[in-house]
Amino acid sequence: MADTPVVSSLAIPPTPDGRSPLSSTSARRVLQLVWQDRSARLALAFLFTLAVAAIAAPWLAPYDPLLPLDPVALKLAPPSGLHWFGTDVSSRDVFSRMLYGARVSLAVAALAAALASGLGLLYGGAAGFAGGRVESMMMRLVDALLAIPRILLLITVLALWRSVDAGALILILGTTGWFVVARLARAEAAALRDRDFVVAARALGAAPLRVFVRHVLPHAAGPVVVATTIAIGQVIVLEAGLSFLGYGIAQPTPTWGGIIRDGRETIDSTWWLTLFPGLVLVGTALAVNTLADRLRVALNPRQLPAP
Amino acid sequence: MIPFLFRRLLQGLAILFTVATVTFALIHAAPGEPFAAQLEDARFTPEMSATLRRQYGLDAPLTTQYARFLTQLVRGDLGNSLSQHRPVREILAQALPRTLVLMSAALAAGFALGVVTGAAQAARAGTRLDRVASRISVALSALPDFWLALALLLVFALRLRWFPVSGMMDQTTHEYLTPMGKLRDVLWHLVLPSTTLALVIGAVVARHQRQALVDILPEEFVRSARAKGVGERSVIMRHALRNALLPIITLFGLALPALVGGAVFVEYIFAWPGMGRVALDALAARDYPVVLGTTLVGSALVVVGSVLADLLSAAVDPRLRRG
Repeated sequence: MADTPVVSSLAIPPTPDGRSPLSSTSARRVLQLVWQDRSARLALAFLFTLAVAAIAAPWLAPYDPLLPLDPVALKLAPPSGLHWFGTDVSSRDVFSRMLYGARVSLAVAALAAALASGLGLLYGGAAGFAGGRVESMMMRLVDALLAIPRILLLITVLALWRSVDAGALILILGTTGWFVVARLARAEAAALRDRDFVVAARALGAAPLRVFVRHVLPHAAGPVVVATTIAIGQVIVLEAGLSFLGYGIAQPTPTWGGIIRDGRETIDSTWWLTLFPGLVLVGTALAVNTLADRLRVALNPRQLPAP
Repeated sequence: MIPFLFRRLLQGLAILFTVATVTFALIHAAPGEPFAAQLEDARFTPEMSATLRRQYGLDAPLTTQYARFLTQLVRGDLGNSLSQHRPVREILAQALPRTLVLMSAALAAGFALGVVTGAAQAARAGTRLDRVASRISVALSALPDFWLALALLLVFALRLRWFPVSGMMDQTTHEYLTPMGKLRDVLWHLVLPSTTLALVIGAVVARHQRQALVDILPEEFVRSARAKGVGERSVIMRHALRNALLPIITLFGLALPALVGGAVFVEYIFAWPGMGRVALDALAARDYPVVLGTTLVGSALVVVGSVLADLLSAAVDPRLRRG
């Protein structure tokens, strides 16, 4: 096979600094561009704090999230110095439960979004690369899948599961979330199919898979990173919504949506069960959206200022 | 226009056919089976299970089942509910209009709110007011609809007691009201659920409307309208807004899947007896035919909505009719 440097130099897109958008230098530039924006900095700081809190939950949580503290004296206790976010109907500490809930939210969202993006990239990329009738057949399927409202699709799938653990939930959310990424990846792959550097790579004898992985995928990286970030935000809200309906990860595992569900019947008197998990949920969704917005600008090579 | 319409309808039908096939495949690929709940009941003998399977045609080969499923579907027959012992079509026919009322109210209010806010923002682009409104719409569109619904419920129904807490009509007095009174009663119950959805839609529409107008205002035809001495209000309302209409119509088609999803949560929280409620009750009862029916009808709503949006775009923009 021809020596790679020749081929990959052809594959490099015309970024102003002459480096592939995936090289580490360029990744650093993207981060720099994101960091320049004040609201993006705030969003990153928020998400970082949340991630640290989630990882360090066993050390940070003042109480055991599953342990009823005092069924009589501490049933539905309002926020106080001892219980910052109050307690729930089983006299469990809400702050501790929210710390552990962050683990579920973030891990499920990140893994489900990653799974969805991977599936979408493979499917859309393969369709765009195949072209012709195969491509249009494959994309018609995506059109149809996108027409099913996602929550109804999830309900249809969930109706067949008994109870869902984190792994199954990630699988379900991932396999019902790849359609948009597939569209993006198809568009990128189809646009690149006949570009000179792809034709050159093929002419040099590169196998289709290699052309796809080395030359096509890196170009789709920008839009896909943005789409994945948006998907993380959506999955966080969706997971909370499913838990709220009672179809997320089974009780007693603490989840933000589950805490809101616990407070639903008594919402008139137990506002803290709705307010605090809701605020974290909104904050997280907002932070992820802000980040996605800024990444969209930073990852578009045409919008990079000349160095 | 007619060939365009025809092609678009055919595409819609093809999508619906694929949706039906996908959902059918999903049931048969999934780990459980439609009667799992009943079949695992210890009182069920193997013979009884076999009878049940045979009655519902689950013992036939997959291809036969698929063919039967499709022919029934074409006739509008969605099978029988397992938990309510009546046809799925009947259940959905009862619930669909209620969801449509909720969705249309939310769409109308949401788009009105969004277009007005977006236009007002674009007219004052860059001012403090514009920035504050943008912040609010970004925050609103990040708000999970179920949480917004809970917040409105707590404040306006439970604390201020301005609106009813749940349901579509007053359980005790509705029967005795005059026709006008009945209408008012339903509208009264409609306010909070539809406002929840309208706020989320309005936030998204406002952002797109603002952007579409800001993109159009520097155009030459706007400048020449101003040069002719047309008032600023008229420039925006008559000249710019009409040309910024297209992205908003496209948005109408795109908003539907989110709206159907939002309706599930809102109907759950406000006990609005529509499709979302039916879907959730069916899920709790593992009533598979009903779950399937709601998914199919929900997808049909989305497809019809996007065809409508395309037709509207074509009506507004002659260039699209040829495309």
